[in-house]
This record gives sequence, structure tokens and C-alpha cells, in this order.
Amino acid sequence: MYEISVLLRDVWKSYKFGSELTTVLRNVNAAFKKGEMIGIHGPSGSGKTTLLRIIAGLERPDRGDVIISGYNLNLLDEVGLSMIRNSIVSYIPQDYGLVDTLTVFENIEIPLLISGVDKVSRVKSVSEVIQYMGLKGKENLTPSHLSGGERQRVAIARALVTTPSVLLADEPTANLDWSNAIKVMELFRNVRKDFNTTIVIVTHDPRVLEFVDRSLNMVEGTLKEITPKT
Amino acid sequence: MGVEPGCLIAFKILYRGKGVYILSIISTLLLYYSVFIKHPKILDTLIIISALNVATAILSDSDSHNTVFYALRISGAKPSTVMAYVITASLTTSFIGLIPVVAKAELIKSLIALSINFTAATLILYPTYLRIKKRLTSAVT
Repeated sequence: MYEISVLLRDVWKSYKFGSELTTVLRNVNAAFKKGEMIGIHGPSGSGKTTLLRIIAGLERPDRGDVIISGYNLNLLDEVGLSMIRNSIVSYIPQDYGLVDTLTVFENIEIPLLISGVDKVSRVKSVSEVIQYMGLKGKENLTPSHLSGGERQRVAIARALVTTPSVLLADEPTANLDWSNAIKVMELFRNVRKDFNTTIVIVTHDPRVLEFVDRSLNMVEGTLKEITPKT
Repeated sequence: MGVEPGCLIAFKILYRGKGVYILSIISTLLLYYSVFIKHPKILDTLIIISALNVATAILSDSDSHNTVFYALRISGAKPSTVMAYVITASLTTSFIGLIPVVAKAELIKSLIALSINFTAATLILYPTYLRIKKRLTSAVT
């Protein structure tokens, strides 16, 4: 069993824009414990989303190690990274990534379909998550018939249905008014408590940091602790 | 062993979209030309129109394909699952688009038309997936 869910060691990432090389992440070092809720704060363009995507295995760092629940992502090929994203790390993008042509049930079911879970088990797991997220009665609706807060909950439900060790949320409250934002953050707290999931939230809104255990600031591509809490 | 998830999702997207319905209607209408028009060039013309129809069918559901590829990538779909989606969507539309060509009952030309249809569909779908994959890697925030 690993006490540290996410370990980042000397992570660097640069992008080439035309002929210019821009370094987005510089020597990032961090360790997130199991069941910890981390807030990463910084302005737009500071590299927060890039960091999240590297932890999710959606892109690779130029240098450094990303170790998730004991798996070094650098040692995995595309298939290996896919399996990590399907079972250990779940990523919720800012735009939720829901499929409008599929129902709420079918959207949440996607990760289980991908991993080959049988129909009976899928129905059971999805129904439990729908109940947990307060989406009962909405199973057969498509995302276009839901409010912003409900779409966010469907995205969280899809991320949770595989009971991941690590949940990554990119600006989860950006498209919500503050009362709905509070509900979403309370939901993350409940998830952390009930599933012992490590939750990493990236945000440019400092109010969101009131809900996390530990806050980090992304400054010029490096992570610095801002308000350590006990 | 269940159905490959990529195939299952592709069928859902196709039958809930509008592309295959438009394709089916146009293919059926083109049957008239296939059956009643006796011109030496009619089959070659139908092959070209068939490929264009298939491409149009795929493009008309492009929003759905985009969001599916995005969701599959985030949810940890293996490359084989994505390929199953692309192949299922391409083959299904290719066969429907083949209706007016098959009516002429020329096997070689039908097979050529099927290949052209499949290539047209895949040449739209697979680069779409690659764009979505890149979108999830190269944005800087």
C-alpha cells in the first residue's frame, strides 16, 4: 500500500511555439498523500493544466518522474497510460468532456465499458454513483438537458465510477455560480472522506482553497506551498 | 467475451445522429439511377457520389465524434478501442453508401467502391481523433 499517491520529481515541460521554446514547468517537486485534498492556485498560463495532464498521463514531461500509486508513468507505453487513466487516475477537464448524444447513464458508464466490466456490474456501479451524486431521475437525460451544476456532477460521477486512487479536477468551479461551486467543493470533500481518494484541484479562484487540506501556488512553472494546514 | 466497447459506442452515435439517415435516404434515391439509367458511365459516377455521401454523413455528426474521442481519451480508452470506433463508424457508413453501387451487381466495382467509401470515412475520423489527442496535450494554462 502506498502512503504517497502522487510523487513528482524534478518535472520539466516545455513547448515550442514557432521558433521559441517556452518552459511551462520548471523542476516541479511535490508529494500528495493518500486521501489528501490539494488545491493548486495560479493565474492563467501558469502551467496548472499542463501539470494536471502530466499527472493524468495525457502528456509526458520532458524530464523528471511522475509516480502514481507506485507506477512510474515514464516507464509505461500508450496502452499502460490508458490503463492508468481508466483505473487509477481520473481526470475531469474544465469543459467536463461529456458526450451530448449519450444519456447521463451512458456517459458515466464509459470508463467501465472501456475496462470490459460486464453489463450487470456496470448497471450496479453506475446506479450507485448516480445515487451518490444526487442525479437519480436524470439517468435518461442527455447533458444538454442539465444545468451547469448537474453536468459537473455527471463529470465527477464518470470520474468516480472506477473508484480511482487519484481524482484530478481542472477548474471545477469555473463555469458555476458561487452557491453551486460550494456544493461541488463539498461533494469533493465527501468523496475524499468516503473513498479516501487523493483529490487535486486546479483553480484560479482563491476562495476554492478554503475547502482543501493543502494549497500550492504555481509561480513561473514551479510549485510553492502557500498555506500549509494541519 | 462482450462486444468491443468502441463498436458499441460507434453504433449508438451513428443511430442517434443524423448522418446515417441522410446517407440512407440519398442512397435509396440514387437507386433509381442505378436501376433505370443505362449509361456506360453511370456506375463510375455513382461510385464517386457514394464516397461523397459517406464523407458528408461522417462530417454531419462531427460534433458527436469529437466529443466521443475526447471522452474516450480522458476515460483511458486503449488505442484498440479508438480504432474499433473508427472502423465501425467507417464500415457502417461505407456499406450504407454502397447501396446504389451494389444494385448494379458488379462485384469488382462494388469492392472498389467499398474501399473508397471506407477510406473517405477513415480519412476524416482518424485525423479527428489525432486532433483531439493533441488538444489534450499541447494547450498551455
